[in-house]
Amino acid sequence: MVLFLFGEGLLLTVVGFITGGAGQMTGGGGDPVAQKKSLLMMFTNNSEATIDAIARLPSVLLVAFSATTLFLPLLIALMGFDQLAGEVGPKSMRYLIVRVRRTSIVLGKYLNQATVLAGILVLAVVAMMGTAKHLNPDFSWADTASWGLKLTIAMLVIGVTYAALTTLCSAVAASGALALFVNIIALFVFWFVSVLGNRVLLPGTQAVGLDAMKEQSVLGYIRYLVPSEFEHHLLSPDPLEYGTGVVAYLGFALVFLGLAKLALARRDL
Amino acid sequence: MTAAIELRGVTKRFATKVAVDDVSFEVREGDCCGLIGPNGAGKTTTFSMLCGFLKPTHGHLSVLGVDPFEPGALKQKVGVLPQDALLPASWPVGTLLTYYGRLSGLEDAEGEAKRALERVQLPETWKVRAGTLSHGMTKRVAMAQALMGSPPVILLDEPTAGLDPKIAASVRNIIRELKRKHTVVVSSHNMQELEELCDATAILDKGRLVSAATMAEITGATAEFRVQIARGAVPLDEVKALSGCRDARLEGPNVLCVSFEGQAMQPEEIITSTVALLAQRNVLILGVWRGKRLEEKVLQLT
Repeated sequence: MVLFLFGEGLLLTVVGFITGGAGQMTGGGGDPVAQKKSLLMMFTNNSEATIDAIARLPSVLLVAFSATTLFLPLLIALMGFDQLAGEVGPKSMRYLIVRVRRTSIVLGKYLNQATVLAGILVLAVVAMMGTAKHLNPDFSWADTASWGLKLTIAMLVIGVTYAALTTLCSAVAASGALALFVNIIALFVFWFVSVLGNRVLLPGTQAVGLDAMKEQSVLGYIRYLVPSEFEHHLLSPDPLEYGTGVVAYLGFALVFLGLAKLALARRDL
Repeated sequence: MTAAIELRGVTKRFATKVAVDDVSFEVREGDCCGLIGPNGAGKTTTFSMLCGFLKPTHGHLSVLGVDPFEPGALKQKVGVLPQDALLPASWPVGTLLTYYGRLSGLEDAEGEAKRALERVQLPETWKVRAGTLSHGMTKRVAMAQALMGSPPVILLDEPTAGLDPKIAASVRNIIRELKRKHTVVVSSHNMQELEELCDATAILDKGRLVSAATMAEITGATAEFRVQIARGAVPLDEVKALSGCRDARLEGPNVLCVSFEGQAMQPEEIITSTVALLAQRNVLILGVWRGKRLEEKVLQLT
């Protein structure tokens, strides 16, 4: 927890320093929103409406949010890898099994981790918004509040999903070290599937920016097997797209938790 | 008396290794049953299946009429002292036991925790972190959590292993107090302890059940007794001639073994008449014990 908050503080300091300096250097050289928009269109596959919305965000906020969500799954794995496996190895789980249902153990451990995580993520977003507002006085209070709420929800949705993945990895492993290894492998597999799915265009889609160089293929649909594919939905101004993102993430969380419950219920302890 | 614990054709495989193979026995309500066998016999695996830690590969297993592997089936029914299960190190003992009591749904969890700690003579550890306790203390705290709420079935895996003689004796006293009021299963290597405590035994070897019987049956108590001789010549022919005596022989220079008609004769009658005869012939006696000792029987069977 301390490590996470320290990392977040460091990130904001570095990103704030860089983006502040860059703003001063490029001051007056064209419309910064248009520049940011064209950059986002080149490197992301977000919808135009989403790009339009996030291009208006202070750069420090955008970079800090992206970096946090990038490393969040790994941080969650480090926080919770031994929640179940850490009790299976030394067999202290046996004192619980005769008293409570295995399902309750899975849910209890998960909710414990998710609650601590939620507290940390709220603090992280408050720090991000405070830094963004401090470095960008023209970023209005209304925007600060609405984006603060949106980013908090996005972080929480992403956080609880990866916490569920960590619970699943911890439920199948026989020791804490193995649980962490399995979790990191799972994240690597997700990253690989995402890269593979995004190497091609979905059939019938309009190519934008660098996507014009890609071929269309049904292989592209495998990207939807990975939660991060829905991350940009969580920043969308379109309620339908936003809702899809939230539902998709929570759906992944439920699948991970269901599998964790199944794994712990059936395995020898 | 009805069976509190039943195993019917229970098998447990780990990959290709068969740890428990087609084991069937039952433990009657209120009995204290010893689970006996050499290392690798399948005792702990059988014990773990009774506790719901392991799921049998085949067969039927029930504790108080429920499948231990069913979710929440053992709550408030069974108290378990698992072997080598560590208590969470950072928890103070009192807080930990109270927490376990709450999970078990006990109304006065804290009171139960205090009473259980007093029963194992460790009330002073209430605020001590579990990780700082000695091996013996940890074992007794683990015993305390098994006793909380006075569950009808208590399963104890190696309850006196690694304890000093004084503490081991106090643990045996606790088990003795549990008899009749609870159904108790004790897994142990200590044959003397089991012979003293148990009403019945299940002997396992290489995963298979080699004997399941009452302690009296297994030690041959109804048909045999031994006299340890300190000094003097044993009149074997006169002993053989005693009423009810089937056979008498010397096992080594100092042990007289007498077999008798167990069904027809009360053991105290023939023991008394044998001792009286030996005393008349100036044979000095060091001790008398009934039946073939459990350890010998187990060594024979396994």
